[in-house]
Amino acid sequence: MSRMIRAAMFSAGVAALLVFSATSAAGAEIEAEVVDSAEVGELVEIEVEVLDEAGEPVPFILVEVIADATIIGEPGKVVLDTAVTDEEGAATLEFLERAPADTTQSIEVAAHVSAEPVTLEAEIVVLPGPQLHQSDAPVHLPIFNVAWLFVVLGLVWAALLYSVWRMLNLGRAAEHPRPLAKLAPYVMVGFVIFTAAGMVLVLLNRPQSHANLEPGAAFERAPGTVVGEEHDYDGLGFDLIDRPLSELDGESLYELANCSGCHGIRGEGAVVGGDLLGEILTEHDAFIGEVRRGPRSMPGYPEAQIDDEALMRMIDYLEGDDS
Amino acid sequence: MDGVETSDATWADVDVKDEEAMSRLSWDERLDARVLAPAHPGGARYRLFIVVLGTIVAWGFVAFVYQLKDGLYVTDMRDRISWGLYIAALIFFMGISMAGTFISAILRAASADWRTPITRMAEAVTVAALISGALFIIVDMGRPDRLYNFYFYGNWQSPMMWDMIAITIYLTASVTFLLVPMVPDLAYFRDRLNGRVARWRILVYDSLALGWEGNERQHREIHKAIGVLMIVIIPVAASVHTMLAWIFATTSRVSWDSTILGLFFVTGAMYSGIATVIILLAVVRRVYHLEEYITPRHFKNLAYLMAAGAVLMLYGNASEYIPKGFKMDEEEAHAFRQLFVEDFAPFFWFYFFGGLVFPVLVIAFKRTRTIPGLVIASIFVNVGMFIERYFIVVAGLRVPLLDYEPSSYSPTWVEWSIFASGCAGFTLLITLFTRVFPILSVWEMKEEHEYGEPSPVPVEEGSPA
Repeated sequence: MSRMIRAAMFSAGVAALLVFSATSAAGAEIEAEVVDSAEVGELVEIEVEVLDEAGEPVPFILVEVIADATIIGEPGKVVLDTAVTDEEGAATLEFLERAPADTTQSIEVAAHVSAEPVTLEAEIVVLPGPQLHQSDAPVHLPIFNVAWLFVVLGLVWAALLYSVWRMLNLGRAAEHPRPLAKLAPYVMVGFVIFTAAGMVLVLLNRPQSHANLEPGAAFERAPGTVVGEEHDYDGLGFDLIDRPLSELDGESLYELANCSGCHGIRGEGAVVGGDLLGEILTEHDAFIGEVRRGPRSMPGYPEAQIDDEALMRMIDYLEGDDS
Repeated sequence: MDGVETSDATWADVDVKDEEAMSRLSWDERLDARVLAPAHPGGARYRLFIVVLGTIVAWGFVAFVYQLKDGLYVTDMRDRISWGLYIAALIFFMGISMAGTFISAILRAASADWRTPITRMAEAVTVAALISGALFIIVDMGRPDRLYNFYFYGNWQSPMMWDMIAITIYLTASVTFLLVPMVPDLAYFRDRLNGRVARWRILVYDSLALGWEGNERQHREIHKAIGVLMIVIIPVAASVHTMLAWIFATTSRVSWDSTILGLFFVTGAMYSGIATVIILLAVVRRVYHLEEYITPRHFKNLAYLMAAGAVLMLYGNASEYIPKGFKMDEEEAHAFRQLFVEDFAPFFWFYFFGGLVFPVLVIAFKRTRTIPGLVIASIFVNVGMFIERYFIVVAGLRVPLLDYEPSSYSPTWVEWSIFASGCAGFTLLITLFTRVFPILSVWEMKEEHEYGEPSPVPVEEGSPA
């Protein structure tokens, strides 16, 4: 269904296609059709045509699409796709839109006609869309899914139950019933049912995975720490896991809402998440807005999950005001 | 034959060490005397043995408490090599636990009659090894109290979760598989030992014997139950070892990137399981004077199965390393170098020659195929297989994923203490089992004897075949 919607949106986007062109010093010309907007997660296709000064197509040269990106906190450029032109001087570049929603992405299409490539610049408005971190398998086998695991597990437990059930009959078949012996088969049946019920519990409690879906209590994570660092014992964690995120103190919230996984142990930023302290967390309202929205591949946290007060406690913790 | 019999039996008056007196008894009486003897209070040596094992277990517990207090920092596991001795021990014990399934269930399903006297010990090994092994999962956790997360918040897309499910089923199935065929023997203990041993033991026998009287219908019921159990437990056991392997195989590590890892683990489990049963049978046979029932024929048959296991392992190694070595990617070269010529070379070549080739040679020659010879071979098998598990875990983690210096790992005293404690705990469980429960499947042996099926014939000591 979502594919159809996306296809429809793509068709609509084609109507708004903008044709860019650029000419190099040597007179070579590059022409590219770039959509003016794309959803996060959408496959963006760019048709490129390269012509020389005489207007003849230039075959078999490298073209690439380059975007501005921040890599581990440093501004830089990243090559999104490369292709080689065919005999008509045409090539198709494609990439998955991964820029943050509600931003404008600057891209550059470059054709290596000479040592100095001929380039053209374009901008794509990035619209909110399905995020990229869902567990979407590239190969779908409609009948072969995890439901069969239930079937197999069920059969195994049924067979085990059948065996212990026979043990109940064993006691009934006794001509001189022994009171003590009556209990044990029920204990055996109970044991098998108990372990089976445990597994059912596991399966029912499974969390949804990855971004975009509401991370429930299942996303509990042990606070990150450094080997050798002393930490006070904080209990068994039973209360933490079942407590709503809004009730947590700043530090626990930062850990249990999984912020530290991407943004570092105290918000200093890491490979995936940016530096909260230095760059992102400057203005409190804007920061809270970002958390609610969930930029890029970060899941958004609605107010129902973490209220503003809890977020303020976390901000205080990150800014070091609560110590 | 399983009838209620409380009259003064001849077995009680005979000293099982007195071969002369024993030979005057009938076959049934002799079996009674042999099987019921271990139920009596043990001597000073037995008590000393229990105390020593108990002390080692207690020491391991102290080390575990220390580890709980200070965290996994007290081990040598760090960010790069994050699994070590504990996980190797987990796979090793899980492997040993394959013994019961293989020897008991598969041979039962194949109607191999010679298995009868050895099935009980094999099933006991399964349960004891499974308990010891599963404890290493908890020991390896920095916060074992969070085990409950597995049950309440487990993510079943994780191979860890599959493993947990497989182990839970296997433990349930193997406990059932130990108990159900033991029911008639527990009734036999209940009747014969009444008034001769502590009261609590009779209570245990009485409740677990489920009111067994040995009538027609009860026989039918128990055979139906065993018939289903022995079939179910085979795929369940295979799944446990496969899932354990998949925890490795689904992780992005060069050495673990193998499609045959599951098969390899199952084969290795069967191999080390049989070796453990051989060692155990030799000990039990000697300590409890069961030479008449556990004969060189059993050792010979088990040895042939073990040799088949060794050959399969050699084949597994060949199919794992030769195609990889033929292509020899850059990371693969690192893995090969450290395994075959550098850091882990002594481990690998001991495993290869000591753990795989040597046992086959021992079994191949008639002169070495004696019970002591086979016990030595089995010890080599188990040491070799433990080392294999160790280098699968540690060498696999040592191959760097990025361009950094390979890390190093050597277990600390805490890890060694807990590992020793696990081994002692396994031995302790088995020892206590032999003192409390029937160690031979008496009812099946008597059934076979009664119906004239081949009962174990004493063969001249030390010369199987």
